[in-house]
Amino acid sequence: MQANFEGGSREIALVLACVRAHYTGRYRSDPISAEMAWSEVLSVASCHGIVPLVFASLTAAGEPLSKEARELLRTEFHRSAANSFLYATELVRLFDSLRERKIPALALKGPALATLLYGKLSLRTVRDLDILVEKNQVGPAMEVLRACGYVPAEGLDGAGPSVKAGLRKHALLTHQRAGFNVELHWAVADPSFALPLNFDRLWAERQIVTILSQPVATLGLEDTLLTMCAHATNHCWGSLKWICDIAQAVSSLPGLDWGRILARAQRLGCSRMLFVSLALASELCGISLPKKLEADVSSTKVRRLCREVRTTLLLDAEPPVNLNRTLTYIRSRERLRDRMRIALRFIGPELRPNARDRALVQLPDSFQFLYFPFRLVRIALFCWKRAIFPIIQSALDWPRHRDWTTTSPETASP
Amino acid sequence: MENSSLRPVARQANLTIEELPTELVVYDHLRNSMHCLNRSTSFVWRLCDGQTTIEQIGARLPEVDLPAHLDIVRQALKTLDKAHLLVGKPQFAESGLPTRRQLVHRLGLAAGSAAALLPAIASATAPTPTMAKSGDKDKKPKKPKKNGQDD
Repeated sequence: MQANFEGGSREIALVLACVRAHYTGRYRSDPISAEMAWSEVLSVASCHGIVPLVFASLTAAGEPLSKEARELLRTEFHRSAANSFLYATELVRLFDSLRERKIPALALKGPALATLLYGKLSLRTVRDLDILVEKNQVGPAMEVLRACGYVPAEGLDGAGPSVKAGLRKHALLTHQRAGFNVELHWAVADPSFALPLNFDRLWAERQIVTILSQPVATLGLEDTLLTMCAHATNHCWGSLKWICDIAQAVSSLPGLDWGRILARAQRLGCSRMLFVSLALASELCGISLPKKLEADVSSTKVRRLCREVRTTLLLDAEPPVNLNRTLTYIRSRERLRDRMRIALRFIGPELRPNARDRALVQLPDSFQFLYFPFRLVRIALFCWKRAIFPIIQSALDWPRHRDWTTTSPETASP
Repeated sequence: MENSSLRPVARQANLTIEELPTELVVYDHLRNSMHCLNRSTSFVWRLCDGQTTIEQIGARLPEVDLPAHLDIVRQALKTLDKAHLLVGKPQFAESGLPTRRQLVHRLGLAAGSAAALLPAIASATAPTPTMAKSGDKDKKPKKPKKNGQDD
């Protein structure tokens, strides 16, 4: 499969040529123009978290770079590599502490993934550490992290209430002095993402990677691939780094059992997100996929989603947010029940009475339940004013006294 | 002046080594520091096996497109020693070493290519968690500083 790189800037085209060279071993790019904006190349590569791959490919290809360009990329590569080693050291320290307290923990992404996929910490950028523990171990794990110098960020006082409410999947902690960021996960995906991956199962399938000569537990091969695809989908495939990781997994892990992966994906209802991720990895990174997957990754629904993601990436546009993001989630799932669950999770909070409802009408305690129908009436009025009425107005060609389509922060939602 | 039969030894303990197409990335567990050795430095470092003399190392420099010149080996050993990547201190008089600029001039290398060819190590030191824990002032990963590229 060949990607159509038309439409992207020459800087993005160069970054993609470097990415493809990493996987295919063949560097193919137009000659580098003297007007190449290297700061832009660096910005694109940094933004997508693939400076090491771009640096390694360009230097391996023997591209005659200007001194400025070489130094720019080299300095950024060194910074990224130093950071990866630093985080790896910290991960080893935290796992030692968790092991001492007998808390089963799995390292997600970060240095564990760099070691497992690339065999080199320096080839993958690391911005934080992700540690997965069982839900009932969040408290003890939080204590361990506190003892290691971490405090919950954003004023969160522990993860307890969030865990109970099932609203989130992780708590962010920051090292008080060194500034390391750690995400303590009790689930792999947000509840709104409707991907229930059971910790016991993940733990049973775990594998050990050696990081800086120390053993660290991480997800098994098949779980690694599925969670990478889920993570990329969760962010609407907005970064080349995640697509590169998937390409790297397919090309560097010969032990992947595709039969098990497909069966697991089918059971979890995440086959389509797997196929979209694999199709993107094949198109953008130039990797070959197993023959048995060809029909699945070429289906119309997969291709359409792929095309949209590729356009967003090539034009360096922002990934979808809010409703569009939810629609992307829905389109990335094949089972009706998962689609419904995602839709309800999105709509649910909108149906709950908010502070504006309470400010408009003040009801006594015994009549609080009336806020729910009141909320529905307000939503109906909002939809009428913002969507239905303008359509009727334009259909009947009525004079427009007010531009109903103008959005202000106050009127963006009821 | 040092003995040209000196046999330097590369440090191997407590290091993680990663090889890239044009660089050798070395992470020092003891000092929490990372070094990126360019092609000529990593070539010299790999030959520091305690058996090969610096004269023999010098004779093999053309393999990395450099002239067989002992000063290049000494320059590499100096930067390697500074980065704590050698066992023991190589015994040579640093005062006799030409500067990088003098070396470029002496070897007749083009100024642009010299930076890529001559021995150089870029190092970055990260704060250890212990340092952070002991109440040291805030330290984040430092911008890599060039080691061995100054005159």
